[in-house]
Amino acid sequence: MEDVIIYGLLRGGIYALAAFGFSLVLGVIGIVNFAHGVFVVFGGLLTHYLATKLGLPYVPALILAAVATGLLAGLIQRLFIARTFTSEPLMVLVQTFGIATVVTELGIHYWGSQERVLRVETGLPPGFFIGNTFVPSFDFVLFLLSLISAGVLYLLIQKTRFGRAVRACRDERQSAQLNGINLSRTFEQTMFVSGAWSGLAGGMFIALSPLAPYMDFDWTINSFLVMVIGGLGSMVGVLVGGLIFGVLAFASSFYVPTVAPAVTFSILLLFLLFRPQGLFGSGQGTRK
Amino acid sequence: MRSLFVGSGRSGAARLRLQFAWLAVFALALAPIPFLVNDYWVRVAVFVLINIGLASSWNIIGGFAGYASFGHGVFFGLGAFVGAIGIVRYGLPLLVMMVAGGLVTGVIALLFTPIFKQRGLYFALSSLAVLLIFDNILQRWSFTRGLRQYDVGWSVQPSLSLTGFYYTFLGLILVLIGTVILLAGSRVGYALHALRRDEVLASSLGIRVLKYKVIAFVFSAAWPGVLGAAFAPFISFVSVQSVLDMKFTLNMILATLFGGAGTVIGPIVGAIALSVIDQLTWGNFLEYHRLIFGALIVAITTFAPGGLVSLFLSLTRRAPKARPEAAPPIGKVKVSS
Repeated sequence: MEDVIIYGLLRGGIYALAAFGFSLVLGVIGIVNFAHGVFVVFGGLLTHYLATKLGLPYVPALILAAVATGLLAGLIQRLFIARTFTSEPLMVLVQTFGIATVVTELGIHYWGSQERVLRVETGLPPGFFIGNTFVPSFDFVLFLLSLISAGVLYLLIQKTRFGRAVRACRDERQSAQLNGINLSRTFEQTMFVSGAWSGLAGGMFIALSPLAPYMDFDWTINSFLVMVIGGLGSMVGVLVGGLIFGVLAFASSFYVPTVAPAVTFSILLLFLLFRPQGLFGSGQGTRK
Repeated sequence: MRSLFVGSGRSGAARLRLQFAWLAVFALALAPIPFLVNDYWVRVAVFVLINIGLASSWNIIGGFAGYASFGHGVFFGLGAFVGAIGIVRYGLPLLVMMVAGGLVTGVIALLFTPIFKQRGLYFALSSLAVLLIFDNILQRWSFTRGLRQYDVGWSVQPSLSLTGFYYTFLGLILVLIGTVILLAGSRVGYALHALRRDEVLASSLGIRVLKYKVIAFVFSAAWPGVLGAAFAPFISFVSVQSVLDMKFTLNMILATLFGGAGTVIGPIVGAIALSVIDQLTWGNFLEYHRLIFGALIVAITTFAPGGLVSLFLSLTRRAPKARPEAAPPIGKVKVSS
């Protein structure tokens, strides 16, 4: 029991990191990005590529991959989503689904479709015990890293000029424009941030568990689940949602491995039915 | 908006006649196919017909009502399971099982009523969650012979020849489109139109929004059930992998949006166009098949977000008479916050 919770929490930080971007984009641009999972997978595989093929150390590879993923996301926003997001949300779903297909296929074409894991040599001691549970130190470091990245994102959104623009666009798009905020640029930056943090999540995840191009849709769904649990528009909510989801996913695959997806999705359904605003959601706005 | 005010006057009846005339032309054009091409292409044609049927069904809830169901493939899969179990285990004739498939999925769709509290993305994902739950149940339940170690799915003897299947599906599709035309021109159609535009306003006008949403959903779930039951002997092997694949759901959505959601003809055009693209890329560039498919979807959604029908209409905008069914912007699925 205790070990399940601890291992779940360790993964949960990464799930939260992947979901921040999804929640941010939905809140600010108002679209559901079906290509979101692609960013996670892309970031992960790029980290793997940079570390193994170019021989970069892990941390620079991770940062470089995150930035590259952010650029990819920004590019997708500028070239495609910017043209459609105002008209029909349903269309954007299909559009981003198409984008996800294209990127995934290109990924399979150039990187191959096999699952990859990155083994990182850290030189750290193997781990320590919490109660009776062995905690690998690398997993723990990644967990801390995910919390730190979440904190950085929080500061970025709450304390900087960019963050103010983002929040203004989220709350009142027209007034933001009237106050001289460049909407399309802010949206591109939002997408960049979404992509970068998702790429970071992917780069961290691939050091623990395998990733492959075909997994993108799972990550999109996971991000959505985390957001539903935590609540739209609340960063704390997403973080807590990610941790809960981590425990949930780990517990269900540990105790009832055969029906694990059914359990997770039943819980999702219960949340949607009885608490659609999530644990920390602002209530209004989510029903729109 | 306009069709709201057309009412049941003469223009409405005239429009119905015109639509049924087109349907007859469509039927006549498709009828001789089994005598013109070889078996391979007849099989392809059957799949195209199924896609038309599925897209047209999805269009009722996704296009007319503006509620994007992302779990709609579950009804097709359930129909196929009903068909397979009825035919293999109980030896019932196909016709009975088609009716049963429609009834079972229609009743199951009724159970979805609580999730109509949701809107937009939340509805979409709730329906997706339901799909995945059903997927899991069917895979683990011994009654349905999910593919566990000792279970092998359902082998269904095809009871008809290929030509027989072709005409069965053609007949089903014609009836289906006929019912869609009738529905679109009925009170239900107008109510759906109103609630898609503005649900609060519609309900303040006295339209019982929930009732019509549920009617639309049951309607759009029952038809895939019927098609699924007929599909079981056609592909002759039914398992979760073969009939509950996510691709059926995605095809419904893509075909509808590709053609133009919320119109009667949109899903038909979309399903045919996507099938043609699918065949061409599959035959000529197998390796890049999915890539080209995805790129086309991106291109269409980016540059013609109303779908092919509205693209066509905007090219022929010169005609002074705007057709009532001519592609109003599809459902405002409100996702933004």
